[in-house]
Amino acid sequence: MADNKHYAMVIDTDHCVGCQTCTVSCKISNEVPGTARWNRVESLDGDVLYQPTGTFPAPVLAFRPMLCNHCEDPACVAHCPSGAMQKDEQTSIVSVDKERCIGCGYCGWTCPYGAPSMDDVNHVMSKCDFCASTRLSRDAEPFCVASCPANARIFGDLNDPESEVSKLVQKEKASAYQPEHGTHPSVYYI
Amino acid sequence: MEKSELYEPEFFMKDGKLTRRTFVKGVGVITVASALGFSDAAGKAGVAAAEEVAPAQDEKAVHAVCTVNCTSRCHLHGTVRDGKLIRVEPGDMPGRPGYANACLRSMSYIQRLQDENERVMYPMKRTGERGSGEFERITWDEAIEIIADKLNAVVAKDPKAASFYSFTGDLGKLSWEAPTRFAACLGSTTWDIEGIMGDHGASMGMTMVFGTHRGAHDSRDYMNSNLLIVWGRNLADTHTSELRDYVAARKNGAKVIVIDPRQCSTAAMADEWIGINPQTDPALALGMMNWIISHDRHAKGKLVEESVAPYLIREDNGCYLRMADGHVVDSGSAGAIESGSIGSAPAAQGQAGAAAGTYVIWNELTGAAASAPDAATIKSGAVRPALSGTFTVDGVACRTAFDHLRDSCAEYTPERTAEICGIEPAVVERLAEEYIDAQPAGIRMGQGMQRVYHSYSPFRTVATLAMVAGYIGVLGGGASHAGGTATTKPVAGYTGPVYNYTDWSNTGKKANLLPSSQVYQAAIDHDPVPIEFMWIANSNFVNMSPDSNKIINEVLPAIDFIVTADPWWTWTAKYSDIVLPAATYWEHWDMIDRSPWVMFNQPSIQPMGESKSDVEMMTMLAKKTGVEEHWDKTDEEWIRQFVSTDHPAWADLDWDRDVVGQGIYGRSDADYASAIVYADGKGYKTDTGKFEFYTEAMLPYDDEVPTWRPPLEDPREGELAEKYPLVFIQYHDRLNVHTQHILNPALALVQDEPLLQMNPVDAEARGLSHDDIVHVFNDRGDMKLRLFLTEGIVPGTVATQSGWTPDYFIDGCHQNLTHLTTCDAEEDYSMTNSAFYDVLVEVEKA
Amino acid sequence: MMEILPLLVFTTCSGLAAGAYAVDTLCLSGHGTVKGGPKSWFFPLTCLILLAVGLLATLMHLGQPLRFINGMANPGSMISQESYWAIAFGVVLVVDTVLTKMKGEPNRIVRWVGTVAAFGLMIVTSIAYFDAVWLPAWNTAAALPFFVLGDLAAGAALVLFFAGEEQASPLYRACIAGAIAWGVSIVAYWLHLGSVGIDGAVPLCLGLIVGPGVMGALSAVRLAGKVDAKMAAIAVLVAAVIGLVIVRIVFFASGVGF
Repeated sequence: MADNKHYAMVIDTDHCVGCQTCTVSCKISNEVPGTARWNRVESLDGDVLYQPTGTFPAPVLAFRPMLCNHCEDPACVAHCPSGAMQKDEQTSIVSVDKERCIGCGYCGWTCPYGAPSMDDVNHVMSKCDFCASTRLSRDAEPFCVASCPANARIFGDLNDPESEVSKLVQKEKASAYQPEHGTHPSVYYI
Repeated sequence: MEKSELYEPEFFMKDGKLTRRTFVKGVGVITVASALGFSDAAGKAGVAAAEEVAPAQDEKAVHAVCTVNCTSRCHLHGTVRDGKLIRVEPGDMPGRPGYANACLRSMSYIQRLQDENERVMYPMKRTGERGSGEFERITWDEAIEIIADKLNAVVAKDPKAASFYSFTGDLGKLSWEAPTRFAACLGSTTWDIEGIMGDHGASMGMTMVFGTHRGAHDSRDYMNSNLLIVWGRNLADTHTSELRDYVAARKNGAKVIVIDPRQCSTAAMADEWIGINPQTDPALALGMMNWIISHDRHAKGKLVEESVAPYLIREDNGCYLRMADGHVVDSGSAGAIESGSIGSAPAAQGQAGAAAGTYVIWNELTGAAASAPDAATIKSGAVRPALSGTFTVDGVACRTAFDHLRDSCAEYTPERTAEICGIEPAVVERLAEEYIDAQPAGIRMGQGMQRVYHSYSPFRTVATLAMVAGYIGVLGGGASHAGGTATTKPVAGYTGPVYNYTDWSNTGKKANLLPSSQVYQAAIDHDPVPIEFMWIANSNFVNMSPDSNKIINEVLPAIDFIVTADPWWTWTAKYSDIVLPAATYWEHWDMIDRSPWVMFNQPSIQPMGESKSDVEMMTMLAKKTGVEEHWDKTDEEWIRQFVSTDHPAWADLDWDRDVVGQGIYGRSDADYASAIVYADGKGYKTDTGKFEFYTEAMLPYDDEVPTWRPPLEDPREGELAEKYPLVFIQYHDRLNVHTQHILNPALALVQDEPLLQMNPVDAEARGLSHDDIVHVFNDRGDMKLRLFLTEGIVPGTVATQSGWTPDYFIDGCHQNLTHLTTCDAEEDYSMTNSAFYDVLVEVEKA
Repeated sequence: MMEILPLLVFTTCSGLAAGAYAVDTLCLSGHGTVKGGPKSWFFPLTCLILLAVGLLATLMHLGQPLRFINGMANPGSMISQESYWAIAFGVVLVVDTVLTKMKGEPNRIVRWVGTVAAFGLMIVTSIAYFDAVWLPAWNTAAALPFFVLGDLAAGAALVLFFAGEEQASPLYRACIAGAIAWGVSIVAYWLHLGSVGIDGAVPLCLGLIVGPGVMGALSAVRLAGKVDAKMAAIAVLVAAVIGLVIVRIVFFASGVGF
């Protein structure tokens, strides 16, 4: 359908300072229960967060914020035994039906990005839904985007060729992380 | 695209109305709503709506201004459900929406402040030994009775023996000032805090050269810069609300260089990190100046017009040459500083151009000495002051101040500079060349470089570098310190004050304001005053001051009675005799003047337990100490009075809408455009009325022009260096401002224990590995914590985040290692700045 | 440990049941371990009980055990497939137990059907771990033989425990072959762990010695007629099960932590 949205995010790792305002904003504002987390930050090229790569005096300090990639072909949906994990064709958002989820955790194991995070209070899987109910439905950007002090996250509709995300994906050659998994993420990195 | 076209800030709206942030930038009139397609009604093109999202049905929007002491002062938008704060988001900033910000600390702060296990819930009286943490609950009436009895007895003997020590834990006008105002009511002692906290070096350095302790370009001005040097400042974490402007500047083509012993967060968005040894920033600036001057690239015109460069300095005594009626006159008591002119909080400010007429230059047009003219006269060509040269005036041999500066710089060859700073000579040369080539280049300075002995030197020297390069008062340039750069428009014909502080300022008596660098000696040696009663507010004194072992073993035992008013069970609270539950900024009325905005706090939630505001506490105490006439208003009444003048600033103020509803008011006389300081050579508040890199007051210390001094605890040589070869510094990053955010539960997602950063080179030499538990020690004390190896720190230096409390160390605490050592030059100028980062230690496997 | 316990119990018990059932059919051509007598239906019953214990353990793993029925909704998911195969296998075991008790000896067709289900269960279980892309410790083709061969080897030991004296020799030979193959699969997995930077050397070595090592050696010794038959059968089974538990703890802990 022509009206369908393809919500997507472009993350500018050139300007991410690793502050994790996204991590904390998401956790608190979305009232993410228990130990679950829907956002996290990794080292861009290294193994240990906050350790730069390379050697003194010219090491490189860079970060990769991670959230659900809202993939075109999501592994979590393919592997979910209950059908609780769903992709909404009208928004392209991947979300979990908490009423149906059996809490097996398999989506978290099979997602190449480890995005689904177990809600250990309600004992069902939980994950980023681009703030569909808390923000998008109220005409606002996701919390992580609005809170980013470096403007390093840009959110929009890839089906709209005029949207900033579309332009960034085309002009800045924003690319998906680990595309070899073949899930076709909707989160792109510069 | 030309830079001038891009200059207009992205979110700037002249009428100060709010605009909704769109994420379809470049299609400005499309709102979020239409871009998302969720709502037809909200998506009308051109409709300006509030940026904040309206609360859900069972929720309520509340507002506050964050009053902790980072540089930002963010306007926060909270959401309350069932009487609890559930989230915090950036609050609207009228006129400058791109500045709206809420950091991870303010967001997670609500978790900690609504946790009764973390809060001081009731007035408490100590029952065990000091430090034991054994207290019993008492009533407010009992607490006030006990405190008043003690206070009245001390004041009857000597009012100055009672001290009121208010720090930066809550910088709201009422909270911050209530305890010191109370001291004033009694004629008691209060403390000028900038010294012991370690921010005063910046103020001294700025005051020396600019005559005023602060001064910054609006960060939006960096859209005009080709190069931006972030010097000793981790602004990404410590002035987060400005970060978007730096990102925009970089995207606009400005190269960003970070100079810091650590590859701080800001370095992650920069083009280059130059890791220099701590304590060596002045040397680098001198080396750059030397390169610029020796390549004849210095801004001769600007130096002559706007600085003391052409001013003649007497060869016989080093003082400025002064003339009256055509004859040289005695320079008077040059170098001596008026006693008692300590900083005041904040630091001393000169009388702008107070004695401007008596200074002398050599006029090349007439070949004779002349009274130093103002910038405009020089520009007009009427006078041509000599930048360089030796002259004899009225029998007195003189040289220009510039020659003194040039000579001081000359020692700092690229090789020597590089050796001091721990970098390659080529880096010094390249940096100097890039800086002077940039035209313009901005410098943002941070307090990180001034927590050293001779702490005035870094800001003073780096600012002088900017003047030598001609970047002071230039769009896209400057050597800026601290934020809060928004402005107001002059209102023709109105001379009255903006705020009505008449009643607040009327305290009957005057406080005995003393330099905080003397607070330890006051307690221990009763010099300059004894401390028999100490009221500590807004301060985790033990945790945030140098040499905590000394505080605990010598300072506190010498103080007979200690009251701490704090929301938290701090290290300091545990050493107090009475602990009073203080309300946080979400729980009481307050106000912050961040011109052109005024931001307000109010009780958005019920204060936890029996918490009270500082004004409420002081009002109760006033009744028992005979000063109730000065404490006759509620918190809300004070705030209402403050904003009650007929100044045009308040023309559009609607109390219910702006104060209660939004918590922020953009003044009617506001100017939201980007602003810079010292444009057109105006605004220097020094005695000469010019940029004053030659400081007579420093003559007794051979420091009249910028120099580099080795640190007090020098890793380069000496016995101490052999015993403790590593420099230990602290830093501020994402996790905390001071101790009040330790450890907000959600922050544990980021980091959950203090870490010691160390370069692998130093670890290898000590047989240490990443994640090892290490013992860090010197003669003053020690700490045990986990080791974090990183290539992002200069070899020879180790670092820990500031703000961790002893609860989270495996043993000890970082402040066990630091010291408070008086610096004569600084005491003489105003007061010693704690040299927190001038500390040597050794590290071993625990 | 609470995180991995359900996985460990499930894969060990249901794997043992499936492995034993398959070995029994393959080695003894579906004739059953014991001809006549009550012991003949004990075997499928034992398998049934083991499978039931394993499946109960999977419920412990679920955040919402009461919704387990939802877990069969997606045929493309290995988790759903595990349910299908486990149910099929369980149904066959019930039928087998009842038929064997009634008739005194097993029905060969039922046995072969059950064996297909047992293989299905073993294979989809191993593929389920192989598909765990997020967990490098599991995301390897080595996970397949690691599970299937482990199940078969330990299954052979279980069959041996039930088998009569006359059937013991081929079973001991099966145990030796199984031990060798299983041992190789453990080494392969060890190499994989090393390649993703996880050090499992000590516990894997221990598992290798206790499991395939002791099991294989004891079988060889018994074939040479040097130990008591009953003792040997018990010892082989105990060694196989302990070895299985050890190497699988390493597997699960490497993926999701101990």
